[in-house]
Amino acid sequence: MASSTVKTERLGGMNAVELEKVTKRFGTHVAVDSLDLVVPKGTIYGFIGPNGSGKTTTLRMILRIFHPDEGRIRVMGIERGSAADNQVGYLPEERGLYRKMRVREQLQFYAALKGLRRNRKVVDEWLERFGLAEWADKKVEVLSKGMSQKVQFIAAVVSRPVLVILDEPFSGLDPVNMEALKDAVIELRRNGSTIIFSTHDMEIAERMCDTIFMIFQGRKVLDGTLAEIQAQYGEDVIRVRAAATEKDLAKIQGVARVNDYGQTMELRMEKEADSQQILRELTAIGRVERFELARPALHDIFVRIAGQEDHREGGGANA
Amino acid sequence: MHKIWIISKREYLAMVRTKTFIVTIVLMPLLMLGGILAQEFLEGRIDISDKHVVVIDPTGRLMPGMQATAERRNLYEVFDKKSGHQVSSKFVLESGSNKPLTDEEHLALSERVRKGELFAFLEIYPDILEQRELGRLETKAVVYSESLGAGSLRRWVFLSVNAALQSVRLAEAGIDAMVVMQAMAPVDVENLGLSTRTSDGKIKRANKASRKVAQLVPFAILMLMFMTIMIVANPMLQSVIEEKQQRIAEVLLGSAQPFDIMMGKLLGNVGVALTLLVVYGFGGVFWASRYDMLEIMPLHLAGWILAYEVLAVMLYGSVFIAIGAAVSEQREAQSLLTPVVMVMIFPLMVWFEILREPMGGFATWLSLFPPATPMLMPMRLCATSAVPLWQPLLGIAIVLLSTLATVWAAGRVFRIGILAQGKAPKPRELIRWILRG
Repeated sequence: MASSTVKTERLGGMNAVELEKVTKRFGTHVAVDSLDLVVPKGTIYGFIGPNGSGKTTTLRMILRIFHPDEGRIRVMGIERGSAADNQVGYLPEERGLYRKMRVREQLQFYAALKGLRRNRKVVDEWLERFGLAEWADKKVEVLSKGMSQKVQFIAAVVSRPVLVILDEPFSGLDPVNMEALKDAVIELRRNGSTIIFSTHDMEIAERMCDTIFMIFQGRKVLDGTLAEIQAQYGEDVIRVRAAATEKDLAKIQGVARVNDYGQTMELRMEKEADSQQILRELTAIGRVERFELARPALHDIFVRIAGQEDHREGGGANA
Repeated sequence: MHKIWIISKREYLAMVRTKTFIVTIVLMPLLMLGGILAQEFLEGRIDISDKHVVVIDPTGRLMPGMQATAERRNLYEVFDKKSGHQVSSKFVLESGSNKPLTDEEHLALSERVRKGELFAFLEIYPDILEQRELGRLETKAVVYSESLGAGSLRRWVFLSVNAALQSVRLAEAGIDAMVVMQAMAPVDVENLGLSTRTSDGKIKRANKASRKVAQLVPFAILMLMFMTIMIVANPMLQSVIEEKQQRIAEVLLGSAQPFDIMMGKLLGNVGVALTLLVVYGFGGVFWASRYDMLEIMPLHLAGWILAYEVLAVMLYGSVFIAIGAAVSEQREAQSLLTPVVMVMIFPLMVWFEILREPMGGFATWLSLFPPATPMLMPMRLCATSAVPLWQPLLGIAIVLLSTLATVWAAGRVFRIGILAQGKAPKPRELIRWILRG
């Protein structure tokens, strides 16, 4: 994988965010360890990683709510900026809304704070778009979790910031609302905004992100497009529907791990294993209905890394 | 500046629109007047049944005089002069033994008091007539009772025993008691306020009622300052804690500088306090003009009161905001709040001393002690017009400097505290936040 420094040079002033050897400690705990990261303008960048791995800390450093102990951060080309930046919109992981305030008033307040003065029309448009128009004059405390999530999202993007940072934007949303939020994010990107979001939903990350970045125990373990990341691991997954049981499969030579999903089973091959040999052994056990060689899904890669099975910077099974 | 304005507007509206605020506006004067009203209410409900008192007079010469005093009192003094209603108990005296009491007799009388047959019994010492030395106040009579209300009886007995004693001594000296009493008949002295010139140019003298109310006005000003600061300070603390708990702080910090957020909150609440002042000020003026007492309203002090109010809300508000930012929940705030609240209520503990001698050294220096100045200086200014101008001016300067220092220190605590999670910092840690920033 290309190093961040190389990327920085290549992209020059085209980057929304640049982190160079950034370290953040809380007491003796190192939350973020010597992190390099480049987020090009106009992209959707997905942050993944287990809980407590340093995602939110990194996002807060980009927002300048936290300052790094070491290293440099540039946001929209500026190194020593302030957290109060009208160009940056932010949706925190936990909801940041005044419970006693009415929805429209609250959104107008946040929009005004971001420098958008005549904002009634644009606020109403967003409320309409998310099906919240009839809730405009209700207090936030009566909203459901999904509704407040949408209100919080509107608060983050209503002023059309050039950089949008969303911490777990899709958590707690039903599929319909998730779709609406996803469309809104895509539209923001289409209009030129850069979006960084963290998520635990690997499918969302796979489908939406131009680039995926994984942080584990404060260190970067993945950074690239889905194809680049998968390429590091090669085609080491076999999806099988066969008469053989999970136990039978586990005994086959060259099979490192078996995952039973009910309808299909997923085998992970050991390094240097021969898929044809595995197929032969499978047919020897019984009838084989499906045998498909595939690249690992992001979910699988995540589990491999976070499960401490295989973690090293940029290290794939076949690398 | 624009962001400070947006935040202060939100703070102001969030506060004045709450039901609590509207209830407080109504409740506060009720609470202040509550004490006075309760007293009025209770006055009509005190026990006015006859109080029977047995008098043991071994001299046999004092009882007639006391009896006559008691009858006079029962006829004239227990009734309200205006309404004619009885407002206190009659004392009904009964002659007891004419010899000193034995222990048995003492116990028997005590039992009668316990049973409620008697209110008290009075034992006069046999040698009471022998005491003639001036300047010596020796005990020569004792009132025995179990009621706390016997204090008024003791005061009456003191006067009536001495009056009876004087009559006996005068008679012994061959002097007509009536002549002496007429020579010594006392007159009453009234205490009224100063005269003022009304808007139509007439000179108006203070009347008795307005004097009574005027004496309450300095205290009312103290309470007004204290209550308005209290009313806005606590919600400020809670709103910062809410912003921290609900993660609103993170969003705010993404839009405005910590100092702007704090200033916005402070100014919003200054607005709330001024609203309260205006509401009560107009209320007071309206009430006073209705009862023709406009001259007792300290309208000339409006400027000082407003200036001190603004500074006081900034001074105390910034401390409350800093505490809110330093802690994670209301419970933790308590230990940090205690010293602040102690300082705040200090003027309420010394107000009486200050009103008694508003120009004394104690009053002067205490009213220049910054945390107390906003409350005590307007009260002194209202109590007497003798306070020289340099004192309130110096007070403003001192409070202004203290406010600037406090807002600066609170700003540093706010900036660090608002994002800090976990255990509340100890005072020493807070000082480190302030010094290191």
